[in-house]
Amino acid sequence: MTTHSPVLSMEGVCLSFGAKRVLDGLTFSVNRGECFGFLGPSGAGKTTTIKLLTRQLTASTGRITLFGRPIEHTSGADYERVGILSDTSALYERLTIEENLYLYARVRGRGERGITTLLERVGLEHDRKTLIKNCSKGMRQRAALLAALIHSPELVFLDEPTSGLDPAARAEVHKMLGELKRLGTTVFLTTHDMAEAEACCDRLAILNAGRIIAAGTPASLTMEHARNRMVVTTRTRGVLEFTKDTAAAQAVYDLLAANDVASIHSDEPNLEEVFLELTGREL
Amino acid sequence: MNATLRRVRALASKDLVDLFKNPTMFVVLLMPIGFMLLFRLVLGDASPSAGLTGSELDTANHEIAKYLLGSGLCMAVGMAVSMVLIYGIAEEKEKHTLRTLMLANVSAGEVAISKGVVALASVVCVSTACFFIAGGAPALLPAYLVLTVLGSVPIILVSLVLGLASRDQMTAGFYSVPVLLVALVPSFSVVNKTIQTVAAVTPLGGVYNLLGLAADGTLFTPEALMPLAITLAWIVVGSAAFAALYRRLARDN
Repeated sequence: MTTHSPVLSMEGVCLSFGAKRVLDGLTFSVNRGECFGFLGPSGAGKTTTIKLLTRQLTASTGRITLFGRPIEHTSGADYERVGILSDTSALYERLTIEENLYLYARVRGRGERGITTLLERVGLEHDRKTLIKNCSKGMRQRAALLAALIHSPELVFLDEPTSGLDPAARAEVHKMLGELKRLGTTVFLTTHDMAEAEACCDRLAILNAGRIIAAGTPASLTMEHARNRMVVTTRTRGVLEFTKDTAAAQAVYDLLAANDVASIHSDEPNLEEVFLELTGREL
Repeated sequence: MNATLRRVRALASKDLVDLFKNPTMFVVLLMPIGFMLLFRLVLGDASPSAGLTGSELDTANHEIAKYLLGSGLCMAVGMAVSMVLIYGIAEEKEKHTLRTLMLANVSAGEVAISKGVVALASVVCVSTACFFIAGGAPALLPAYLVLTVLGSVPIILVSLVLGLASRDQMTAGFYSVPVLLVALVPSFSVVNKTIQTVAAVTPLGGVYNLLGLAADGTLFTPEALMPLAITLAWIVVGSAAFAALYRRLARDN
């Protein structure tokens, strides 16, 4: 359930490191309760954008707001409402999963009572006494995600949360993302996994070389770049391709009338194909 | 303020638990105690067979006890502080746990305070053990602990800065050596006059000499003014270094 008051926004944000422009005129907003995907290849500026939004970096120009306030006027109290899982988030290796979560619960001023429920949500309840150094990458990532969510934040920044995870662990993380959406948490998700973005995000922006080159819902982006083509699999003549015009309509009509059609597909690209078409770059 | 206290308490208890779970750090904390046992075994008491008379024997034993107490203090402060702080912070940086904490709204100052408190607590524990192994008179213990804390302050402040400046544990090893050496210089002041003069102006030289005066029962005499001034001067230097470099290093982190 989303409402249309932006939780965070960027307007004409640029960032330069010396002569190199890293982010160039970023403009977007994220509404309360939505999962906003920020897609792009490695080095596009996704993590840098998160660093700007979490005050780890300062923009060269432009305006950033968080919870309706200019970011330079936000306080520590505002960031108590935020959870961050960065690409390098790490827990203490000599402590158990449970001890790490207790630490973050105390740091965030939350009770330790809800930890068991959280562990159950990601299937770590039987591993609570496992030292982090003995955990698999998937377990570590899920534990780090719990640490970021322990204070039930209103806004969560997730920087490539499924990077390097096996399919089962990715599915667990996706399940958690679904649950966050149900709870009304606003999620800012960076990823270069297009399938993940398509499955989890309400809206997304595609970033390339520091610029947003496309934005919208996953469906609208694929529709915008839909090819003028449909594929008809027939029973007697194999697979036929048609352009979407009146001549094709008549031909398809004839095939249907002859009961020769096994299936008809409009040939829309997936997000990955949209990205390649827009940028010409591999993910 | 409450939030800061809450976070510092949480971090300090984590650091304390981690201290006992980290074999390297734990062994380093035991090293001053081990050295003290060794010193005690090697030096022992002055032997009557050396031809000393009764009062000379007493004086010799008193000097040995003073040396052992001073060395124990220097080793406890030098080893415990450099290990807990420089390596501790460097490890957090290397393994990205410091960054993760900062993203959880913890400030570098809160991390520094919690680590400083744990370092001070470990120094007090280790130096107390050294005190008893050295055979210190129980009446001297309060003064010994006060001087330990006083001497630890500049070393802690400088070590915090070096910890924040360390990229990783390898760099921490490089930075901790001078801290350890400077801390240990006063315990070599018995070797000759030159070292004694140099040692007197090192960060722990002041408390080392104050400890000697306390053991002689002359702590509250004008003789204590110079070592006290040196100690306070190092606290000021440590605070200034910390204040000057902390903001920049904290931002880098």
